Amino acid sequence: MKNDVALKVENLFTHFKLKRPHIFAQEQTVYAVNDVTFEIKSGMTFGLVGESGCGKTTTALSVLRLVEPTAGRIYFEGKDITRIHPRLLQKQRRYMQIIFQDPYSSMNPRATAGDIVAAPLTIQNIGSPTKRSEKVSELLMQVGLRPEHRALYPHQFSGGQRQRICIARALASGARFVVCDEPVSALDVAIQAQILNLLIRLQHQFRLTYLFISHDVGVIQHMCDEIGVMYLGNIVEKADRRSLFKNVIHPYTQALLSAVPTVDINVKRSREHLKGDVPSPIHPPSGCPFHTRCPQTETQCMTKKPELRKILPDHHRGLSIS
Amino acid sequence: MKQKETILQVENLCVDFKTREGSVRVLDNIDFYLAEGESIGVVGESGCGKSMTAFSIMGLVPTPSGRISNGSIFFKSTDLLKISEEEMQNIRGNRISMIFQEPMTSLNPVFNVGNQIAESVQRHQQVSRSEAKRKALEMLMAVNIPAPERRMRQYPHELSGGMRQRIMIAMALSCQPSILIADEPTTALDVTVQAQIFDLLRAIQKDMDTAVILITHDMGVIAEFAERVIVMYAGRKVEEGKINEIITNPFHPYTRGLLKCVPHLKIDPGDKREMLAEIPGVVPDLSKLAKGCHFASRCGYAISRCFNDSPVEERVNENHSVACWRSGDIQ
Repeated sequence: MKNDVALKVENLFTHFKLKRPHIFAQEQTVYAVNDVTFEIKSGMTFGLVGESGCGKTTTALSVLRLVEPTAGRIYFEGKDITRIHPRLLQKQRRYMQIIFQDPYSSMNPRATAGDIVAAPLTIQNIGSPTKRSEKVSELLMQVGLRPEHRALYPHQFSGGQRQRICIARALASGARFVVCDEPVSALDVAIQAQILNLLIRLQHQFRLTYLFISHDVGVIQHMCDEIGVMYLGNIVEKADRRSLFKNVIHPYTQALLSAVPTVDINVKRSREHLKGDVPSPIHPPSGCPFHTRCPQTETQCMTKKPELRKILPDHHRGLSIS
Repeated sequence: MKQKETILQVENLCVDFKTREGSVRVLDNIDFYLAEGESIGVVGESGCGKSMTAFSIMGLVPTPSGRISNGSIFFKSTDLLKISEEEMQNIRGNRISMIFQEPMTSLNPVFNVGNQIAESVQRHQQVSRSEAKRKALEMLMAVNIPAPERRMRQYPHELSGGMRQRIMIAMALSCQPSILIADEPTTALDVTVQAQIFDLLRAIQKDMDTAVILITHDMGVIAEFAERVIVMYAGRKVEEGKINEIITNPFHPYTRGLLKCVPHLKIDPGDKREMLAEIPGVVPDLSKLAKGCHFASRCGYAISRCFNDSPVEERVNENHSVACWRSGDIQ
């Protein structure tokens, strides 16, 4: 496999200004994504894991520029797309697609499956109508549906089938990079396995690059080559899949992993569970974002934000203590 | 061995729903028991009848479309299906209570949480309003809510998801019930919050000696919390046993599939990504169930008998039973 970089994200910040409740109120900012840096080699899967509100989805949306990033640089296949003109961006979007968590709400309920899958082709003006129709049949078969399914509406499908339609739509225009934003969280466990296997098969078949987002550490470990753990808008630890789980270093990652319930009765892990809730991203803590809940906090953690440092060839962490 | 007394005994429970396509059987001959202070898990995919089992025990099967058509549910020595609604109201929320999946939709948005907890105390125990309030405050402290006096006056929308679920637990436990039914109590929550909630449930269960029925689709959650597990599929119980037995030695092909199709967290995942074991197809439509074993159409071991006769429950050993014609052959 070639090791060219499909996506490179440098020092990405995404902040949202909140609407002021009245004109004398102070303007408030949500610090959703703070200084996120990562790259994904072509054909690989990079995972973002973390709890709700940690900024995984905002990071993904910023990468696709569905949300405008506040600062930072995004390179897609070597091209800087951070500030390019919307028309040029639309051309790029042909190759950058997304699969959302809830397949039902991401489809037009009044369009047929065929129309939904053909939409990217129509919008990008690819092929003649007959060619498009052939392409739709081909895509539906590739995701495990039948060409006859094209005439049905979203409500006539099961959850798993709907997600298959969304996958077919993402691949329609020849995507090379796909964001999978919690693609199986809304599905039953038995169906989850079917969709995850499908995503792996398609990745091999089309040499796709995935940015895979999930709150489920088991799914992330199964799907990803490299993983970033996010907390309050920051990547606190980043490593390849083997290293991350063997050498868990950041206290937050440790807490996250120890909280995952397991059926392995031989694993008896510490029951050191985190206390309290995640701080508000409107008033993030100073210094290390995790210091308010960290069992190992020292004074310097409260003042200085730790940089992501390389500790093993494929393992980075953001931690000030050593 | 049953050392403790049986507190709940469900026998041949059948629930039917009337639909436009005719009568649909959503629970088909469910049998199980619960001992005092014990925790059992009910696991299965959506639509398998696990929530309906809980609703039947609580007397909350939606009428007139739903109907308990057969069976009995003994709570100690009373058959809950034979008593009047008034008598049921004295048991529900008092002796048997329930925590629902989505705390936001099961809390009343227009009352503060203190009032909501005090309401159930006042309903079931002959106490004054101020005494009920004091009890509510005590419960908030028991579920580890910081600054309970302030929380008493807050409304559900002011609280985080984990906090709301704690309120639900406080409410459910306020009358010290003998049985607590938790229907997917942590599905809407993050894993670290989920771990907190289960720590809390475990501690309270020990303190009050409450028996717990935990309903979930997550085998991992069951493995960490329950002593026994009941696996359900399409309205039937397919396997039941001690949790360690079910995990290490599952007999039913569905249970095996359920355990294998989830990517479990490993210390060393290895370099190669493997495909997950799939259970092919989807859960059958309950209104179009064929005769025989409901799982047969998705089962790799099915033989012609599976498509014709419903399997009967067989004991594997004292603590383990399974309903599958092929269980003896596929070990």
